[in-house]
Amino acid sequence: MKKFIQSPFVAPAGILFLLLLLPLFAPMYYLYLVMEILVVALFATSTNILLGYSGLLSFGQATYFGIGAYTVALLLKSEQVSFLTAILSSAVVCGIVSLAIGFLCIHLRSFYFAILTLSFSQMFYALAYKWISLTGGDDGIVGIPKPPLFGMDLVPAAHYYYFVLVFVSLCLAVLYLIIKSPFGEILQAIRDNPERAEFSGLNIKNYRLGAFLIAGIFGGLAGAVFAPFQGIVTPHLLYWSKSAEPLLISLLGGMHSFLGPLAGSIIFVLIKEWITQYTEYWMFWYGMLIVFLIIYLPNGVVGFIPERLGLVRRDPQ
Amino acid sequence: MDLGYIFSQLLMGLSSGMVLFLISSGLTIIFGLLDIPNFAHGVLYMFGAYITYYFVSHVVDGGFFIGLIAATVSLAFLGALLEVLPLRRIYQSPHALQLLMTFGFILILEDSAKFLWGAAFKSTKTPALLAGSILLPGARDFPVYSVFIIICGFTVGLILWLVLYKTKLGKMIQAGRSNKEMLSALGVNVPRLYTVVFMIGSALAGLAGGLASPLIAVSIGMGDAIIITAFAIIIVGGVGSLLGAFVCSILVGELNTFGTHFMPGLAMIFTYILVIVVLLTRPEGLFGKKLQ
Repeated sequence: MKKFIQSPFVAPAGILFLLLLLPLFAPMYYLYLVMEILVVALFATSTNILLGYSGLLSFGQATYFGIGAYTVALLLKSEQVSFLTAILSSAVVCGIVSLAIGFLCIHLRSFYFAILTLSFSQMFYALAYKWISLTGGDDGIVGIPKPPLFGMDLVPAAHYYYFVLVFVSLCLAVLYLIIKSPFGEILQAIRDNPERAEFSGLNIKNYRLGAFLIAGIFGGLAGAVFAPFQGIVTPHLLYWSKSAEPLLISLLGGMHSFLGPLAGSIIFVLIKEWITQYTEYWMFWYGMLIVFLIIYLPNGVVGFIPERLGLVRRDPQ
Repeated sequence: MDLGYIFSQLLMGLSSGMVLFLISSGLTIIFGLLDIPNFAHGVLYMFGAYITYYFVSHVVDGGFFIGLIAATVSLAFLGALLEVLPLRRIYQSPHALQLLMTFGFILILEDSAKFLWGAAFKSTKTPALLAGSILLPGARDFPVYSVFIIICGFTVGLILWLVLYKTKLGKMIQAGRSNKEMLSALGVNVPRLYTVVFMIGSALAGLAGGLASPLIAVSIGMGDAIIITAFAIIIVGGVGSLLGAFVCSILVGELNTFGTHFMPGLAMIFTYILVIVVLLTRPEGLFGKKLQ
């Protein structure tokens, strides 16, 4: 029985099954909540490819989320492009941008890498804010429609919910396969010991660039499904503090596990919803949580529970 | 556009550069010795502004100057609190976790400020003593208050230089940057030194906030924008270098002032371009030590 529970597919499959049934009995409020969690989880998981699996702290992932969101928003508002094309376009645009930025950034280590990604991110924020003819500036783009996909009408909440659920699950599955592939293994090897990886003959810069590209594309896809969900995109999506969210969420849930960011997203969104009912100062408590976690649980919640249950040996790090 | 105008703009740039210098000097000293990128430095600046605002609005005579002193001193204590309780536990952690923890501080302190003073923008009036303007060569008016800021900036810079290079404390700080174990072996209480340095940096940020409060709207988010500029400055100048912070603060101040004149709205991009160029060509900054 223990081995069955330990199998990495049981828990996610079970949750997925429950989520598929959700619209049958839950009010719309919960559908929106789950959709928000799913989008945030995809964004955080894509960021964690860099943070947890590659050991790269990128403080500019909001750029891709924002670019993905704006691309879809602009294309859908033009009403000349199908939903599928819009989503794929956002992936392509984000891919190009992340390759360009990543190419420049991967030459630097840790803190300087973070600041460089942050600087580029702020430049894009400034662009989004000032290029009013394209982005609408501070007002953003409103009234983003939910066009049909494969003939299915996505306007009802339950329908868009299923779309987000399926889309995010597929993206997460792809990311999982990437992590489990030789490419993913090498990324982790580079994270743990870059010098040794280099002596083995690997071009670590290329692998890091690859990770950066993947994170950018999937961050963009998260933004792409977010745009019709929210209905409005604003430049604030590209502000540097928005880049901190997926980092914190990955930290919260556990950055060395694949589902850590998902766990972190669930906790983050639920805590935000729950705390805001009692006080408007939810950021204060979230900040306290972060400080507490970094000191006492650097492996996050997902790391902590298996350790406590004795399922996993504590890493002598 | 005449020389008189250029001269007055140069002075404006110098003045805003001095505020930036007060923030970035603290940041670079902290980063230089403690090896901690203190993301929360911006909110410390914000707190300084709010504390000064409080005294200006509640104390009639000399409220501003009392507020400045109060901001500087209380931020020193706040800095001590942050360093001793949570920060000191993660000195061995990777930079990523340190950055994230200081980001946690930002969340905590921003909401605390919102709780204490509310979310509405506040403003401090320029103290009567420093109001008005002087006539520059070239027949341009220039605010007295900005002159005051320039004087403050240079004074603080001089004091910092004296402390760092002419006192025992300064020698300890410099020594600690190269070899902490040796310093400890020589009998210096290194943890206490760290706390003192963090207090100095925080106090400087508080002072900067107080000085800036009559010039810009005092708001919860005022630290968010300036922290990025501050990091840009210390990177371009070289982490840990006081001279680098001084020179680059002036450089960025001038870039912003003239940039706003020529390309309003996109002025901030110049700073980012500068950072990107420096990081790609000379990552140790203009005055920094070569990275291994």
